[in-house]
This record gives sequence, structure tokens and C-alpha cells, in this order.
Amino acid sequence: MKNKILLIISVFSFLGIVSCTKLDTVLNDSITNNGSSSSGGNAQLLLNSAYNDLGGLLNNQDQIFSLQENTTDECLVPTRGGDWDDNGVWRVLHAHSWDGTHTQAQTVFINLGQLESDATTTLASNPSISIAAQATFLRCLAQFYYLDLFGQVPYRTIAKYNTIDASPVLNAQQAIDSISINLNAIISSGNLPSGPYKASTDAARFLLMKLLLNKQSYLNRQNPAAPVSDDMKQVIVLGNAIVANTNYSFTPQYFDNFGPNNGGTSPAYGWGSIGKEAIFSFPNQKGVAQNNGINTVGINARWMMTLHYNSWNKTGVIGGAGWNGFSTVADFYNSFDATDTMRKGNTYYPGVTNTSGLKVGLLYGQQFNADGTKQLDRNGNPLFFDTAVHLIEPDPKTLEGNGVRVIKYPPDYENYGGGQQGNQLQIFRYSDVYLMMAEAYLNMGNSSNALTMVNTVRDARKAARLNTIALVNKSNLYDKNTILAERQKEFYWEGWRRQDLIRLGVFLQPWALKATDDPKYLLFPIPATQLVANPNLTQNPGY
Amino acid sequence: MICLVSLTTWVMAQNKTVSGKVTDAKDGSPVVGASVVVKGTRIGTQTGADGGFKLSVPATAKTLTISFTGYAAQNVAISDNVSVSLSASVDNLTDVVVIGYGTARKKDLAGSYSTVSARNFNQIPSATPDQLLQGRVPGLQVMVGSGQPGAATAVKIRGNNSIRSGTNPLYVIDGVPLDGRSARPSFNTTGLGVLPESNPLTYLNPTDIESVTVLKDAYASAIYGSRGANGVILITTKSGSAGPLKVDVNSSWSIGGLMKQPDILDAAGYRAALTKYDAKSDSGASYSPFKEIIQHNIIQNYGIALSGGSSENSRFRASFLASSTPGLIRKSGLDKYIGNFNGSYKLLDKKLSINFGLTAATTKEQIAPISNDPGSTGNLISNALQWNPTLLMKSGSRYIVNPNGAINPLVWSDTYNDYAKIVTLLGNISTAYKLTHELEYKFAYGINYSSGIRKSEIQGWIYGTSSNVDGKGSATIGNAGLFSQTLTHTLTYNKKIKDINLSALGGYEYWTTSYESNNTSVIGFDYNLNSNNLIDIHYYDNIQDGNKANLATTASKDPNVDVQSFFTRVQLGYKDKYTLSASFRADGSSKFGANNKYAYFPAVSAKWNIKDEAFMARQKIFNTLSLRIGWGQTGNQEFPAGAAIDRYQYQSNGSLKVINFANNALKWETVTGTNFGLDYGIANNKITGSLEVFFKKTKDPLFPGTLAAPSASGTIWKNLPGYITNKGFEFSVNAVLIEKTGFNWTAGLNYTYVKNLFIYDAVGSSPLQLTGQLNGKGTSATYVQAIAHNQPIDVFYLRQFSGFDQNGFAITTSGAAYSGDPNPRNILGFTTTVDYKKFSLFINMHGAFGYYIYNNTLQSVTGLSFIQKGGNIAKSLSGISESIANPVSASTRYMVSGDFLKMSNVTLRYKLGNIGKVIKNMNATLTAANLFAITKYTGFDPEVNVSKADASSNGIPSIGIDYVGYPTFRSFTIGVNFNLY
Repeated sequence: MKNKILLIISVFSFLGIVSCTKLDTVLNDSITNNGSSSSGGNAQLLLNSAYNDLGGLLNNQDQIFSLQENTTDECLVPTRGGDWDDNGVWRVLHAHSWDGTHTQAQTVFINLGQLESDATTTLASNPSISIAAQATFLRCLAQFYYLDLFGQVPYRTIAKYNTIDASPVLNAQQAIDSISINLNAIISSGNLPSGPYKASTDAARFLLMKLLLNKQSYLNRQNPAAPVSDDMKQVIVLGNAIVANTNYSFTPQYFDNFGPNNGGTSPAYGWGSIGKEAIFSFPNQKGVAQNNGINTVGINARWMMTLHYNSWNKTGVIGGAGWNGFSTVADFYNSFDATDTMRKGNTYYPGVTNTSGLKVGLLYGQQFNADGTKQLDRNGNPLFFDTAVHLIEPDPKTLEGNGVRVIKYPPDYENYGGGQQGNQLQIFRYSDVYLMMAEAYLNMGNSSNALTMVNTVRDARKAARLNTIALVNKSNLYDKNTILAERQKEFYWEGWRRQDLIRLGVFLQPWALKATDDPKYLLFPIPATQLVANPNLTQNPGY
Repeated sequence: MICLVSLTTWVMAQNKTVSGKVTDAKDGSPVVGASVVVKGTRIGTQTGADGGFKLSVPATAKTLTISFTGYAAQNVAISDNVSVSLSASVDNLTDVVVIGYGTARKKDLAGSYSTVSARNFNQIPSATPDQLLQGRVPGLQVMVGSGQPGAATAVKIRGNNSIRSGTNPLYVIDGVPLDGRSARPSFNTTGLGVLPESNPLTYLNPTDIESVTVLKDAYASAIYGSRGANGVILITTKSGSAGPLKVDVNSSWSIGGLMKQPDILDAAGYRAALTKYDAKSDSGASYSPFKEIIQHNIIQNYGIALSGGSSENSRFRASFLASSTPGLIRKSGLDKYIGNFNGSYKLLDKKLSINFGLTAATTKEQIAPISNDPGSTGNLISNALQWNPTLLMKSGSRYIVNPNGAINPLVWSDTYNDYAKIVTLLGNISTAYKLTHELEYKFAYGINYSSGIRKSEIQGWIYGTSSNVDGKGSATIGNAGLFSQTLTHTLTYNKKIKDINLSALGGYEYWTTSYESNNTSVIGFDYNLNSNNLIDIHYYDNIQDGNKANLATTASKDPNVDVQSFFTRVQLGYKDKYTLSASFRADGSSKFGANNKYAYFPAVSAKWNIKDEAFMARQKIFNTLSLRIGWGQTGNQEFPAGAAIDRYQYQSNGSLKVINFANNALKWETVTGTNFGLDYGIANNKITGSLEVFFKKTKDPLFPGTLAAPSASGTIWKNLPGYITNKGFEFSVNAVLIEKTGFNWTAGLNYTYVKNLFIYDAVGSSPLQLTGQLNGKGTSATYVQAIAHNQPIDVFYLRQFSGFDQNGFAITTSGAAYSGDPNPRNILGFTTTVDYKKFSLFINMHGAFGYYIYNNTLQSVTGLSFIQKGGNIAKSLSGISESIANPVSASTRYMVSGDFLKMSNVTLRYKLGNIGKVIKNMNATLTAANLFAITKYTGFDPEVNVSKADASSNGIPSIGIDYVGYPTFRSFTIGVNFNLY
């Protein structure tokens, strides 16, 4: 009996090991408090997260770049046999026939939300005034892209930064008001840092200029009202303020703006010697994983998306030089005037042409290796980039070579295939300030000031001066004496063309490989999954 | 068996002694561990190593009941020396089966349980426990999605309950519920993609398993509460039996090859195609490139087990297994070293019993570069399929560079080294004490510890990966650790009051598990950059040579998972005719959101043994006839810990990233199931079986759903306001066709029909989520499946293909439509055993019908357009009017029927019997596994399951997409086993 009692005691003593637990979560490798109640040391780290969100959104070929370029008359991705079908996502963009399930629109919608949320979380985390001002800029930038692409802006208040229920939504007017107020506040506060990789005062000015210029088309995309004079005056004021900053100057060689050495080097990470048109750019660093808390994002897609597989016949990477996709159309290729050769390109670029034979700019004709031998396609025929191009290439013999290619970013051959190329991604560029001011002057009826602004840019590009300038020629989108055409020569494949075509009222016109259109394509559809998750969003008309 | 003993060893009065021997009716071999019980009492014992037993019985006792899992029980009159020969039975209602937290007579079970005992397991070399059951249990679908030894299997019980991943059942080994994860570090080697998971049960020695019980309906699994919704698989390991030391020895050797040849052109066919399509890549040779990546090494298995015991009160068993399973593909394989020791002791006049078990296992896996989701650069399989059959891969010691830039498969294989070593310890100890005759207290403690290290390298002389690894090389070292503990207290009460049998169970359980991992990877080495100058030092053993600028390190430790539970079960039986049971479990989990900390799972069931009614006494048709009905709720909490609270993580670059914001409402998903069963036995129970009808509804399905923007994480784990239904029935029949001395023939057939639907009105007819992302050239953003209202989970959502136009371009509809179900609706299993004299033949077939597969391999690897780029193409494309410029568009063209019937197992055994005085019961076996599949499908195997659970589909798995997976191995095995005692 004694044994029995002892035994029961010893057995039941195990019970003591487990008193009922409280089942609290212990995260082990992460934290549950954003630091809003502490000294705010986490705010800078959260802000860095928001900056990093820009990387994929703007660097990648299938996010904002694709929505803003493939929908226009200067870019398309032909389906080439086994390549680039991708369930038709590229074709429907250029043909203006996408629907509510377009995966790129969905990805961009979510990623803009991530940028906006991370900026809002930063604002809710006891930030310093400088961090708060930068977070406000990034929040405005996300809202600007929502407005531009989707016409509706979901947001969360700072107090409700971490909620997961349906978010409130701003309509176009409310979004314009909110973004303007916030940008004006941070511009006048003087709390923003300087330099091309951070939300500077000039970047905020630039963004506000874009917002003011596009305002009427955001309010009514099909029939925009005439620009308001006060808005145009403010564009001029903001533009003059940026031009007054002596940090900026025109880069003598146009493609140096995009080359592998277009940024500064450690530790200053400033403008460097040849990248002085950068008002806001993404800080990729050659062979380095990160730069002051911001990841280097592989920018190689910007050349691989357009180059042929055999465009660099280096032992070991044969067949892997490119993805043989993105092209432009003959109408654009043929629209440069004879003096506008620096921007048209198909020209030698040091470090690139002598490495692989590749030229930069718009590439037409037989392609050569560095040693002067002809490059061949994968079937052994000469590789010839032709102006002929189709949404679905029909002929096995020409499907690899069709389409003029565009090398805006000269490749970083030291870091070709993987990540960590040295090319800074240009988001806001100095020459755009001039052309925006030119457009504002034209809107105010001052064509001589507008012409001065345009010719300042053309002088920098060694292109002949224009004698007249108008906003747009609706019967010829490539008329060189228009802002629309001049902007295209200067900013092709930089992600502004769709916005320019809509603002200037010609987005629905037919152009190469797009015969018909519908006003619904002035906006992208709200992704179906977002409509289910957020009843405050309403589907855009026509979808 | 441990639990069986506790039920059967209660000894009351001791008046006379009976002894005897129990043998197998077929061959006269001793049946070890059979239960011998005085009928209507609990007086009993077990047979020893020679099949003999000795039992003291009351003088009044007249009948003994002899039973053993897998045999038909027999009642025999008590005499001085009882000799009993038992016949095999696949399904016997008098068996005692293991159920959750106890055992029960099968006769009393109202839920749906299926037990397979060791003698009926499939014979597959190096099998994991789930493979042992393939095709054997109605309602159970075991899909081995990869031929890689030790590959993970997808196990589904009665359909697909969930949208998210983690649909495998809960495994419980000797009462210890497992975590279900493997400690194999997972990482993405640059340019390669995600390699398939390994099977978390690899460390179990199949010959240690006594029986496996599958809990199929919601009543049966409800006792496992928030972890039971996918069904539960209870594994009971063998234990020792009293008697002199007995040694079991078994060894086997296997060879084999591809079950199905790849669907690609040979050299002559390729040349003809080059001419036809005016392509210019004839390089002169003629051979089969795919064979170059296949290896033919011998699989070896050596097992030994010792068991014995001084008495019924002190028994032990120890076993050891060493096996080497080289894979079908070069440089892949699995080596296992597994030891198991368990013991069973009774003290204090048998009132106290102590059982323990310990499994220690080391597995070493060599992994080939065969990822689930390779992009345009491909994986080893796609590169070998696509390789030009007129171009050699190697000339002498020189590796040939393919003019089209594709990676040479031999370069892939020779530059790639990847090993994972996992050490697993599984231990449990339990003590039970009989407080009174009726009341027993039991305490059990179990641990599941697993530690894995993985080292991989890609040597720098690789080219064509389009990544930084080309010419530089990379290495990765990863570690992972898994530790879980289970602590269980139960009280059981068994009382017979006249005709009423009462048994009650009450318990408390605490389960905690943790998982941690770290990886270090680096690119850029100084040696092995040229195949002419290689040194035998692996990068991962000299990782400091890597370029520090390309060094990446990560470590993580998952948030804790603590689950505590209270449970009870009461069963009332009346005259063996009526049984009524009810159970209830409350589970609290640290994973749940703040608003839902406890989950409650009730269940009830009833059974009516019609055969025992007076009105059935005269009929001669049925020897067994009973009706069952069960209802219950079970849950599932397979979402990541930490998903219910705000979570931020510091990142390498000086940023703080939001992982997710809090979902305070996050909770388990609940499966409510109803099951109707009819068990029958006719012709003296020579024909037995059951019919079961089931209805299951998953409420609050867990879903990594789109979060309303702006959101930091894009998606959030939430419970959808929709539901999933699985409705169907199962039918099984097992027949003893011939039963004569020296000639026995049995056969069993099981069939399951299940229909799966997802219901969520709010989304209308458009998909809630696209899944099934394709990979390969031209398939970015291409999804072929969807989660959509009123459709099966992962329904194919495709444009309809209707042939080619005059230019050879595909004609398809412009919009996608719901096109087919990837979930098999009909599952079939067939087994038969013929024993003739000393031979016995065992055949197992299984099949699935009424479902579709998407052939992503044909679309993106062996499609027609690749011939223009110097790649091989599918044989099945010859003779069609397609243009080589035709885009590689996803459509119903590549959605094909997956119907198959597979000869999964054929075993011929010859009983050599006793050899000399030492070797006893020797058997020699010849086994073929995956002998052939009858199917129209042109890929390697219609049983495909390439996991596409990646970020682009919100981590939701797809079903039935075939993409350059590891091909199925057809093996032939010679085995011998014998006893020494």
C-alpha cells in the first residue's frame, strides 16, 4: 500500500510539469511592436522598407513599366513562337483588350499598396520630422500611381495603419486634394533631405508638377477640361525652384544617364560625375547588395527583355544574353529628325559596344559581335532586327529578328545576368522639369517661353532647335513640333508615355497594331480580388 | 499491441491451466502475439515466439477466443492442449483496433476506421509508411508525386478538405502525434528553383510497423480536435513478446529503371522532324540523351530485429535497419540507418505498466537538381528531355557546349552536389496504473526531435544558368531543427453492468513544437571553374573561399506553437447490439487570434449490430450485418504561427519589414462530417466488406487571402466566409475465394467516389484566386487553375482549344472557362493473394479515374517550337498540322485525362521453411513495384503532383500539374527473411 501511494504521488507529480499554459504567442525571430511607443528608432528602418518597395514596382519589366509602356505606341512584346505568350498578357496591353483579371495590373495594385502601407506604418511609428516628410512623399507617390493607373486611391489613416478590414477609398478629386496638400506641406517644411536617392524637396516638387499637369485628365479622362491657370503657374514656380538647384545639369552624353556608371560611388553615393540629371532615382550599386539600407535591385531586365539570346556571344553565356522580347514600332523608329541622332542612338557606347558589339538606343538592322562578325539567330540565320513586327509573329523564319529593339540602359557587363548591376534606375529626370514647364507655358498661351524650354533640352541633346511648338498634333502623334513627340524622343521607355497620351487626349487613337479602342482602357480595372476584399472600391466603368 | 495487453491481462480466479499453440492456417507457421482470451471475460494472454501460450482459466470457463490483427478470430472449446490455426482476414469485425487514446473492439466501432496490418502492406523497397497503404484503404488516396527516394507524398482522406497547403493527415505513432514537417533545410539554389520537400516519415522502418489504422470520418478523428480535420493515421509499432529470444532477419536487393519511357523523339525521328520543319541542328550522333542521366545501382536493405521477454511482464524488441536506395537519376538517393528499441513492463501485481519506445534514425539524402518550378533555364529533367539526340553530351572528357545555350545535363549533374542529413529521435514513455478494476490512469510523454543539415554546391564551371553562378560557383549550407513534445494524461473507466458496457475516457494533452533554421550561401569561388582542372574539395566544405560581397545568411525561429487540450469520450454498449458513443475536445492554441483562443469539437455515433437481433437468427445469408452512423466536427490549424498578431522583422539591409498585421479573428477551419456505414459478411464471413456514405463540409476555410490594399503583406491568413464540401461513398469487398489445405485465394476490391466543391457566393462566377502557375518559356503569369465558386478546388480554368487553323496556329476561345476537375473522383484499389503450397502470390493494383492532368512539360519543354532552337520535341506531336511559330499558349490542348490503373505491386513468395536447426521460417520473395500503368497519359506517370505552392499563387498548392518531375522508378526486388530462435 505504501508503494502504491508513493507511486501515485510520483506519477501525479508529472502533472506539476504542466499547469495550464496561457497560450501566448512568442515570436522568437520577429517583434510585434513597431516602436510607436518608444523612441522611434524603428522609424528609419521602416522607412527603408518603404524605399525598398519601389525596387520591384519600378525596376521590373512587368509592373509599372509594362502598364505605362506596353499600352502605348512605342512599345510592345510580340509573341515569338515558344516565347512571350505568357497567357497573352503582353498582347492585350498593346491591343487595348485587357480585362479585370490582368495579372500585371493586379500585381501593381498590391505592390502600390505595400508601398503606401509601409509609408503609413512609418508615419505611425514616432518618426523624426525628416523621416515623416520622406514617408509622406512615398505615400503620395503610391497614391499618385494609384490615381494615374486606376483612378481610385485606397488608403489607411495613420491611426489605423495596421488594420486589415476594408480600407477607405479616395476618388480622383479627393486624391488630388490630399496629395497636393501633403506635397505642399513637405516642400515648404524644408525637412526633406537632398540627393537623388532620397525623397528630396525637388522630388516632391517634381511629383506635384506631374499631379498639377495631369489634374484635369484625372478628373475627366475622356474630355479633360482646360488646365487651370493657377495650377500652371504653380508648375512654373516649382520648375524654376528645381532648375535653380545647381546640383543638376544636363549630361553631355544622353545614354550616360542610364549607363552602368550613372551613379555616385561609395561612400558619398551622390550624383557621381555623369548622372546629374537624376532628381529621384533608385540606388542600384555595382556588385553591392545594398546602399544605405536600400537593396540593389537587378535592373538587367531592362536590357535582357529586349535583346536576342545571342546578343552577347561570350563563352559560357551563349544563348543567355537576352529574352528576345520587347520591341518598338516602325512609326516611332522613323520619327526622329536627322539631327536627333544622340537620342535615337544605334550608336557606339564605350564599355558596351567594344565588349559585345551591342550598340545603344534604337537598334535596327544586322547585329554584330565585338569582333565585327555577324550575329546569328538560333537557327543559324543572320540576326537582323527589322521594323516589321506583329503581335503574334507568324513566320518561323523571321520571328526571332522582327522588331526594332531599344537599349535605354547600356548593360553592366561586369554584372550582366544576376542582380547587382550598377545602373541607377531613373525615376524623375531633370530634362522632364523643362518639358513640364514648356507644357505649362503652352497651356498658359506662352509659346515662346515654351519653345525656349524645349530647345534647352534639344540643345543638350545636340538636336536642331525647333521653330514652333504645340501640345499635340492629333493627326500625327509623331509630329516633331509638339510636346507629345518631344517628350517621346526624350523619355521613350521611361514609363511616361501612357500618361502623356491620355493627358493630351490621344490615347484612344489607332496606332501600329492597335486598330480600335474603347474609353474604358483609359483606366485599368480594379483587380477582382480587391473588389471582393474591399467593398469601398467600385469597378471602373466598362469592366 | 501495448494497449491490447492492458485490456487482456486482467486475471481473476485461477483454477486450471490451459496451454496450446496458435498457427497460421496457410503454412503452419507460429502466430506470435495472438490474443488468447476466455470468452466473455478479460482473462487472457498472448502467444509467444513459437506461437504457444499458457493460461490459467476459471474452472467454469468453456471457450477461448483467439484473435490477432489480420486474422479471423476463432472461438475454441477449452481442452488441455488447444491447437488453433487462424486464417487470414483482411477485414475482421472482432479485431481490437487502435483508436484515438485507446483501443476498441471493432465490433463496437461506429466511426469509420480502416486497419491494415503488416502482413498486408505493399512491398516496396525503402517505402515510407504512407506508401505501404497505397490502394489498400477505401477513401485513402496516396499520391507519390516524385520518384526521388524519400519524396513527400500527398495523402488525402476522402477528398480535398482545404484550399491551403498542409492537407496531409495527422500521423500518430504509438500515441504520439507528429509535427508533420521535416527538418530538411529547404533553400533555393540560385537559378534552380524550389526543390521538392522530403517525406517527414522517412525515419520510420517499415518492418517495425505492426499495423496502421486510418481514422476516416469526422467522428473517429474528432478526438484529435483542431489537428484532425485531414483525417488521422495511427501507426502502431511492433513490440516484443514473451518467450526466448527471437531474431528476425530480412534483406533485399533491388534494381530497376523507368516505369514509362519519356515522350520524345529518338535520333531518327528527330532528323525526320528537322527536315520537315527546315531546322538545322543535326550534329551527327544518334543516341538517347535521357539515358545519360539515369543510373542503375542496386538498392540494398538489411534489417534485423530481436525480441523476447522473460515473461508477459517484461518484454522488449530491438531492431536495426540499414538501407541504401540510389535513385533512378544520377547522383540522387537515400541512405537510412534506423534503430528502434522498445519495452513493455508490468509491475506491482500487473497494476502498473510501463512502456517505452525509442527510434533513432539517420537519413542521408542526395538530391539531384530537379526543382518543381524551373524557368526557362530548366532543370536536369527538362534539359535531358530537350537535349538534341544527335548531339553528344560528352566527347571523351570534354563536355559538349550546346549551340542553343541550353545547359548540358551532364554538366548540371556533375557540377551539382547536394546532400541532406537528418537525425531523428522519436521517443515515448508511458506509465499506466490501475487504480481500481475499472479505473486506469495513464501518463504518456513523447518527443519528436529532428535535426537536419544540408550542403549544396554548384561548381563554377557550369554555364547557361543565366545567373551569377555561371563561371563563379555557389555553395549553400543550411541547418534546420524540429522539436516537439507531447504530454498526455488520461483516465479510462470500463465497467460492465449487466448487459451494459460502459467505457469512459477523460484526458488532458499539451503539445508544443518549435522549428528553427539557418542558411548561409555565397557565390564566387576561386577553383573548380574549369572542367579540365578540378580538385576534390567541395565549396561547402571550404565556404570561406566564397566572395564576401555575395554572402547571404539567414536564420529564423518560428513563433512558438502551444496547444493544450481537454477531451472526453463515453461509450455505452448494450448486449453487443447497440453502441452509442460521444466525444468532446477543447483545444486552445497559441496560433489562434485573440478573439478565438479555444476551439470545441463534439462528436456522436451509434451502431446497431443487426445480425445479433432475434429476428435475424433464422436467416442464413448474413453472418455479419451492422449499421453505423457518426457525426462529428474536427479542425485544422495549418497556418503559420504568428499570423494572428502584428509581426515585424529586422532585415539585412537595415530595414524593418512588416510580415503581417494582426487578424484577431483568425481561427481553425472546421470540418463537419456525417458518415453512414453498413458492414456485411456473408457465406460464413468469407465475403465481407462495407459500404459507407459520407458528407463533409469545411467551414471557415483557411485561406491566405488578398488583403484590401493598402497592405504591407498583400495577403493575410483569414477564414473565408465560404465552405468546401466533399460528398461520396466507399465500397469494399473482401472475399476468401478458395480455402483449402495448401491452396488459398483471397481478393479484395475497394472503390471510392468523392466529389469536391468550393462554395463562396460573394465572388460570383469569376475566380477567387488563380492557382496552378505554369513554368517555363512563355508562361509568365500563366495560371491554369482556380479557386472558384461552385467548382472543385483547383478546377482547370482555361481557354478552349479546338484544333489548328490553315497556318498551323491554335484556335482557342478568347476567354477562359472552367474546364475540368484535377481531383480524382473515382479511386480504385484491388488486391489478391494466392497461396499454393509453398508459393504465395500477392498483387496490388490501384487506379484513379475521372480527373485531368495539365501537361506543362509538353507545353513548355518538348513543344514543337523548340525544334527550331535545337531542342528535342515530343513524339506525340508528329503528324499534327501545327506551325513552329504557333505560340505556346495555355489551353485545354494540354489538359488531358489522367485516368490510370497501375500495377503497383506484385510479390511472389516462396516458403523455404526451416533450414537446419537455427534458421526458421525462411522466405524468399521476388517483388516488382510500379510494374506498369495502363493509361493514355503520355508523361512519365499520371500520378503527378508538382507542388506549385509559391508566392505567386499565394502559397496555395495546385493539383495535377505535370512539369519535369522526377520520373517513377520501376523496381524488381529479391528478398529473403527468416527467424533465428
